[in-house]
Amino acid sequence: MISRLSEIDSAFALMVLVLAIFGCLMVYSSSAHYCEQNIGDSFYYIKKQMMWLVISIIAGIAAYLAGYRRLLEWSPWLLLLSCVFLVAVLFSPPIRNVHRWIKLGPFNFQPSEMARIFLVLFFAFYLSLKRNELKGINAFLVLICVSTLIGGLIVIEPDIGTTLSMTAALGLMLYIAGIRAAYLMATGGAALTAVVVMIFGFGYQQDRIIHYINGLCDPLQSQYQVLQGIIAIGSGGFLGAGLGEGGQKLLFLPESYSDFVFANIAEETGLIGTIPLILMYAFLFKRGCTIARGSSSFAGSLVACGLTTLICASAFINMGVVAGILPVTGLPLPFISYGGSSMLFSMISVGIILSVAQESVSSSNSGILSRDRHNLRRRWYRRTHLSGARYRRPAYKRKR
Amino acid sequence: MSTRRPMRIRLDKRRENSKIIDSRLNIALMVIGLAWAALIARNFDLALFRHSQFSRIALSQQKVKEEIRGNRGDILDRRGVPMSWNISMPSIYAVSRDMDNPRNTASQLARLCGGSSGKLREGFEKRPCFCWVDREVNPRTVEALRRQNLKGVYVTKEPRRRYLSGDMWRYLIGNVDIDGHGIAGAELAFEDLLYSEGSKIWINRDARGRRFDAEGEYESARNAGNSVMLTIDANLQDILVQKLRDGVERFEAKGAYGVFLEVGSSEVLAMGQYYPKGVSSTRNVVISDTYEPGSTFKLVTIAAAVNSGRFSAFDIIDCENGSYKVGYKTIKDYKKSGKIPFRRAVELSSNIAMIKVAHELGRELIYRTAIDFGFNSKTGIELPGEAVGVMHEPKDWSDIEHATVSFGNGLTVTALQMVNAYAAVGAKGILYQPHILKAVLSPEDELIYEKKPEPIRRVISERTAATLLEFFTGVVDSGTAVAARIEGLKIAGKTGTSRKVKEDGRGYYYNRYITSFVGMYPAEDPVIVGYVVFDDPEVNKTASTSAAPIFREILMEYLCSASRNFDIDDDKKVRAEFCDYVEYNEMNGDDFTDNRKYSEKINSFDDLNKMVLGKPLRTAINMIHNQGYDVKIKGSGIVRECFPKNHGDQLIYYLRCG
Repeated sequence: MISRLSEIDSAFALMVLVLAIFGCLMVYSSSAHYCEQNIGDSFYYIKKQMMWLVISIIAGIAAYLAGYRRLLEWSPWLLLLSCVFLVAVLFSPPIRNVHRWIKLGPFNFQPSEMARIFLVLFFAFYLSLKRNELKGINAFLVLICVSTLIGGLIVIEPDIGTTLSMTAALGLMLYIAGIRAAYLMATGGAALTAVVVMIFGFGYQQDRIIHYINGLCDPLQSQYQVLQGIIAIGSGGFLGAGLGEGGQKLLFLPESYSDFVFANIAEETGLIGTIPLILMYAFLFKRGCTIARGSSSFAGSLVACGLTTLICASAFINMGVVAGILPVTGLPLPFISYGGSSMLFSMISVGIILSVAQESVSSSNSGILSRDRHNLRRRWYRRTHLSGARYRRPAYKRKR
Repeated sequence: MSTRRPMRIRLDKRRENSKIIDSRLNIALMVIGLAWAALIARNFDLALFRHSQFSRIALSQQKVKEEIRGNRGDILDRRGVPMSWNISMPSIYAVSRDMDNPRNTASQLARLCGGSSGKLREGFEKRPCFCWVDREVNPRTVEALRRQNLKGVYVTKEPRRRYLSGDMWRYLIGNVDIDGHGIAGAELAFEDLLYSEGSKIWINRDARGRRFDAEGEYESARNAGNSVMLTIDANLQDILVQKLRDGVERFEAKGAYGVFLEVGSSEVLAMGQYYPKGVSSTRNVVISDTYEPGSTFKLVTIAAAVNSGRFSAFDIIDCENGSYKVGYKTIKDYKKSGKIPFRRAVELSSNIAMIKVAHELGRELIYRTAIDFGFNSKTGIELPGEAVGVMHEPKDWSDIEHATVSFGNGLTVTALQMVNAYAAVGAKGILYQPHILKAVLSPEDELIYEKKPEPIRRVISERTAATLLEFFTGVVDSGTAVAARIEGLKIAGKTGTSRKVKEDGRGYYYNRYITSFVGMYPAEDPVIVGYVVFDDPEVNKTASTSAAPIFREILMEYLCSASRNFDIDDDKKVRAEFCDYVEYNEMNGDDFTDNRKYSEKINSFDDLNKMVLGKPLRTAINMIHNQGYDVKIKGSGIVRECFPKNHGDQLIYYLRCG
């Protein structure tokens, strides 16, 4: 176990840890006033957040030690379990008018966070199972059906943000797995058409979209929450107001500790804080892709790629919403926003991704790549030493 | 690896795997990179190019401009005990649009703070953004309110001025108006030093409109005025006022006042008065009221006589057996005597002897000596409202007036003039300017200015002063003021009893007196001089039986209070010996010194109760006053029981002592 822990991909893990610790700092900064006003203890949220961070890290290590292969084997059953939760959540009492959380004892548990991870695992499992039939349409159709079912359940909660990030991850997985681009484009086109028809044909969330389009052109026309977020980013400027000095969190900016924590970060640390933060997620994504490439197994590559995309798509959507370049969806900023479910399942994803990385490290140590290297060297040796015909002397040694 | 059980998922070779993944991932990465670039660009756009625009919006919603009143400086006594300082009192206001159920809240508030819920509801409807519920409430109500956790009800703090001993010393310390300007007493006299300009700051507010003070901005932006240190000794002042009150009750007098000076600098150590009724609480009788002094004014005649060298202690003067005719008027002595030495005549306070001496000396000398002693002119003390007194020019004197002036009738003085004249005798003949300002301290407690004693002129020679002190010691030892004697101590003094002038100014009451006693301690080389005056005592109508014993009590209690240091070190020894002699128990030492500490520490009733129990009564009263409450007392001595009670809209602490 210790040896496996020592083989951890330190770059990826370190970035995640830095994000999580920075997150705790910002959650405290942005929730202190709110908690003091409404709960009476300014440390209330940060205490809970720290507790969840510890629990999540333990869960992440557990997932890492279990290894992604075992989880892939279990993925159909895990997906089934999430389905049960997703159905159950529709019948639970609504919180803030949405059926997004189930009350489990003192905690609010968000099944969609769980479902999207297991769906990614299931995709990886199924794609690698049908590895040789991917050029055909059957496997694709099966997956589309499964994902539409799960996605549909999440959409009617409603939780558009999770659905979006999930779509991005699944789409990318299908794409790199080698499904024909034409199929993907057709499906994407159909989905887009459906969404447009839903919005403008049936008026579903039309206001939100109109506000969004207005806000994109002129930020001052955005709706209240987005406007407050934009004000926070704008007033932060280059240097920011200083940690803890932000004014928007004083109840001007709703959800300043969870979904809109990025606005608070921007206000307090300015571009000096936000640009590294955005780049950090980009590097995280890049590193995830490198892990995917480095994996010796098809399934491992897909898992690593899918989960990384899930995390980074969430981050992108979250920051995009705050900056006003995406319409409002309720999605937390992974590792940073206040929220137990999000932290827990993000850390589990990290554990799974790291287990993919660990496998390729240990396999390269134990042979496959060293054998390759040996072969290459032998080939080069033959080329240069054995067959004289292929070997050319350097120019200065050549006789005229 | 080799032990791993076979899996359903095949372990593919890396090369096969990566071909398609590699190429497709590259394309995906490019697309995603574009999205990321858009996000960064948007951030730059907002934070760099539109920064000023959004800063303005943020500022306009997050901050409000507030005017902050400057912090008025404290008034301290000579040992740094605050006599007047600022506290902030909680006030409750409501924002009814934040409430879930204004009706319910109003009734709950009405129960907490008193008042009718209907009126409150009306206020809520009229002013939904801001409506006072109750101002200057006591901390217990605030605590109860916090526990209720009502929505839309907030507490703010408002500055108020607090005084040591509540309003009892208002004539001396004065008070301030609603804007924090001094309007009476020392507050008015040192207005320029104490007052500080207000300032304007931007203060944070939250979206609910509540202002709050994250980094103590209020306090840091608040200008502070200088503190003024008075020469008053709060302890002596306290003793003086209490004893005067005692005396007024015992002698059924109309009122009483007194003043103590430090000899050699004429610093006012205490300036007290007690009038049960008839005198406004801001009128400082000691400097504003004039009266006929009576025998205490004989100082002038005696000083002129001795200083001129024409009379000495043992010159024999005929006192005519107590009755002597000047013009159409017959002057009488209280104590009949025949031919006695000059010194004895002073001890017995013979008017006839003084008339004869004055006649011998002539009008001019008497008048000039009086003027030299500071009579008939303002003493120049900093306090507002000083009176001059009346003394006619010698050329206008009739023979009778010439005679009466010699024993202090037919002219008026203020108590401060009188005591300062005696202080000159104590200070070896040099008259000093009386003052009440000792030092000015900056808000950071640095010394800015210190007042030095200001000698005005030499009035009498050093020898004369010594002779006069001997005379006055005799007065206490074996003369009219035996009641002021303290066994084992040497005190010099002089009594004075004069008929009260009728209110319409025509003639004298037959049966009403003003009695006074001026005393100096220690007699050989005085450091303190005090003057006690009783206005119209009903029971003991002479100074020997009213003012003198009260002076004795004041001095005794002052000397016996262990922590109450005189500034002069030599005196400590004397006092210590004396305390052994009388076997007084040491009083609790922390009486006044820790007032500030108390006011910071106490924040609830229980704390206050705990701190007050078992304390000497005077300490307890001060502590409760510091918290802004009034006190009712039963008994005296050590506090045995303390309980608060609502009295109308005011919380009053009842103390039971034993």
